[in-house]
Amino acid sequence: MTTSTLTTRPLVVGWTVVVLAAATVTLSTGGGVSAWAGAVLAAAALSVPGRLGARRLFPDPDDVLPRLGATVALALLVALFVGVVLVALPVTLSRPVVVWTTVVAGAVASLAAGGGAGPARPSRSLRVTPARLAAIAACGALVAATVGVTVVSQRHAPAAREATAMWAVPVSRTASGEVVRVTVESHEQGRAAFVLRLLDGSQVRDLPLVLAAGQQRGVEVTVPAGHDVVCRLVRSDRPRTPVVRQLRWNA
Amino acid sequence: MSAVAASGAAARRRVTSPEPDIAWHVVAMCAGLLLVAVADALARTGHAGGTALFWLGEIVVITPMAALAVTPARSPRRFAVAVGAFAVVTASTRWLYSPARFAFPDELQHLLATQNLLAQGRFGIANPALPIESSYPGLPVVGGLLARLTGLGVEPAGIVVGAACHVGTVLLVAAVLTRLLPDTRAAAVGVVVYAANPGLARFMAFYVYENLALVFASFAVVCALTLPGVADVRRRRALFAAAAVASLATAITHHVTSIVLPLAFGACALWARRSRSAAAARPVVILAVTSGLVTLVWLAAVARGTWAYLQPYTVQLGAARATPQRLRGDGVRAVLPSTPPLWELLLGAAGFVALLVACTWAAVATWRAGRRWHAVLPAVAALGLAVLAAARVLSPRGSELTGRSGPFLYVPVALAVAGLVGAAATAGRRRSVSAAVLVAVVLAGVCISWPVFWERLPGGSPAATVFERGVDARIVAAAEWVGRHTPTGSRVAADDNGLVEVETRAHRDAVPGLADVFYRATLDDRVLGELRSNRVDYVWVDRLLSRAPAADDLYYGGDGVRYTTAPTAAALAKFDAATAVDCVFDNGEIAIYDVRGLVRG
Repeated sequence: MTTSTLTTRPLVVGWTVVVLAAATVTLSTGGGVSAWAGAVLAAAALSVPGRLGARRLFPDPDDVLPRLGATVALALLVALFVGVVLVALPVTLSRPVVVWTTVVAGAVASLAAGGGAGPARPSRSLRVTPARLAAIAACGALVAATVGVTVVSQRHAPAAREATAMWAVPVSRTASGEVVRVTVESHEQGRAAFVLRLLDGSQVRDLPLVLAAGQQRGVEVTVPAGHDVVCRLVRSDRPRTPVVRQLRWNA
Repeated sequence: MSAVAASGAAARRRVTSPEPDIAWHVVAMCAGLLLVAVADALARTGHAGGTALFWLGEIVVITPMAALAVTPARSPRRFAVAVGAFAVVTASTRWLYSPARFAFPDELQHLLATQNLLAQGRFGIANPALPIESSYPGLPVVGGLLARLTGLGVEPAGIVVGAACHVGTVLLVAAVLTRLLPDTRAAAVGVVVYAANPGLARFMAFYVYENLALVFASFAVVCALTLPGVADVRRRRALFAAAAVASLATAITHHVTSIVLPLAFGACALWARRSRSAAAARPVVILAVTSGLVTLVWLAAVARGTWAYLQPYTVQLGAARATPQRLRGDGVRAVLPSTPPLWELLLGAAGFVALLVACTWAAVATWRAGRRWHAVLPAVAALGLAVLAAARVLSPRGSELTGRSGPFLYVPVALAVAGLVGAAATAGRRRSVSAAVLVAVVLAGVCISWPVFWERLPGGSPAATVFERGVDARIVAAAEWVGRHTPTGSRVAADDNGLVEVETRAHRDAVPGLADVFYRATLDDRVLGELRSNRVDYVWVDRLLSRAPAADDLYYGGDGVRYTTAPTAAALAKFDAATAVDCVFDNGEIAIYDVRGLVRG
């Protein structure tokens, strides 16, 4: 037999998803909800009433386009009005408040849209043929490749390889002057060696730094009152590389 | 095998595997999406060949939809699956461009509004990046709710909202086409013509308020078109309520869409009156009036600044004049490293003119056939396209206006063109030719799409100031540093790109209109006077200004004067050796100077 039949009842599935999502939140309260669990919850709380409402507005099974479009629009409408009510009320928009309000509003909207008395909905059949399975597998592979190419190219984009940033912020003021934290962050690929040269009048101090990609190192420098300190950052593993960054601080 | 058995097997094949090719249409669209992803990846990592691959990917994405449009037999379900897949694939191209962050100033304006809403939990918070948005809180509410609900950041959540808006709008516009056109054949042609609108390539998936309003408005129109044919009272009430709620949502989400929606309801009422009866049209008339009143009340009571906000666009249109740069492509200076290839200009123009001619032809033919009411729609489409063409060529913001108005205007265009050629497209031997023409029309729409040609792929040559883009890793890093390390309420002077980032990502007060700070060769009294009178704390200097070409004809603006020449490197470096000035940030391109000692001293 080359064909199998899967029968689903969207109403039951929708409510199950809502309950599961609410349970996920319940179990996760206090420990933080992962973005994935949050995404499942959002999909359930917003799209289930949208789906049920769309079925009620467009009951003809062949009216697929209005149904699909209405599902999206109603989900966004639910989000809009839940959000408007939350902002209008004198409550903090904390995560639990938003999550529980949306779950309750989604359940109420689902009940109003699809849970009331009405004609029995016929079951729908999803026929899976080998050709269709192959097409679904091909789509999955292509989508995975698309996501992979995009994520990998993001990580290797030249913008993320820009040399090195060098930041200075005042930390404190003491009797002898200001304490400034100079922070160096490497955006080079792999490990890179630098020298941070601090020039304070006649004094020169070199601080060698070896940083991995994305790593930061902070150095605190005391700048005597009335003095200037100039910090220059150079690559020490590439002698011909000129000064790449320069900061200046007047105390 | 007997004939009976053979016919039984054939029947079973028909039952168990109805229209198996549609799945492979979807596979082809996914393959096209992969090609676009590879094109973006090549451009992002500085490799050649991205542009050719991008166009190949676009062709592969569009062709299955065009092929479907010229296929004689198709079921509504099959058509819906194809449109849904097409909507998802085209929405995904925005994600491929910038997967984790907003990359366009318009999105950053809404980022600020959403972050403010989440931080303060109230309406009416001033948004210096887009003042009118405080009167239209729909998008920040939805984006903020999704961000809080999912635990995602505002930018990923906003990207999801943008994609949902794109998919929802395409599905609902296709539903409108199926309601108004005689059959799914014509509707399929209409969907392909709608795909030629310059906003579909990317703009319709942006996190901007008109995209959310467009979903609500499209949904309201679908309900209004369904309403006259429904006999069941409960369902009629549900459809009416849904349309009314959606029109209210539109009114609080976006100004232009809320003004267009009552007109669209009016057109639906006319259609219902002509195709059914006056009684059937009555609820739609009530919707039109109610929607118009809600919009008027909102404009009068809450969004009083809307006209003042929209007026400059009309003034620009009125005072517009052609320049060679605009004719060549969107106000981009000739010094930019790349100008659009000739074939793109020709194809874009040819596609646009073809649609204009088709709409005009449809209007004239319908009028001559004695169906004068039916001639209104193609006439409106033709007139709209003519105005859009004038704006495109004459206005300094022609590309922006084209991108923004496309999603609205191309609905009547799709109806007019599909009504005219829908049946002819599927006729006999001309099918492959028809499909090729449809693909070319959509590609022409991509050629004139917004954002413009030089930022169609990520990466590429830097441009000093860019109205439509200008966000890259170096600017984001600098803005995030400003947000983390400068005191709240700090006032920061910057060029145009920096101003947007300072306001939206760093949440600091951006100070525009200080041209002397960037253009004067030395730190003289005029510079000092500007800094002191504007109480500037930090100066953001983008060294790229002195050596990169400027897009949009602009190196510095903000005070009503357009500075179209670059400041010199020496002028930008004048703070390096200044007394009482600290250089507190340097990432190679962008330096940030603490001038508090200078200004207060």
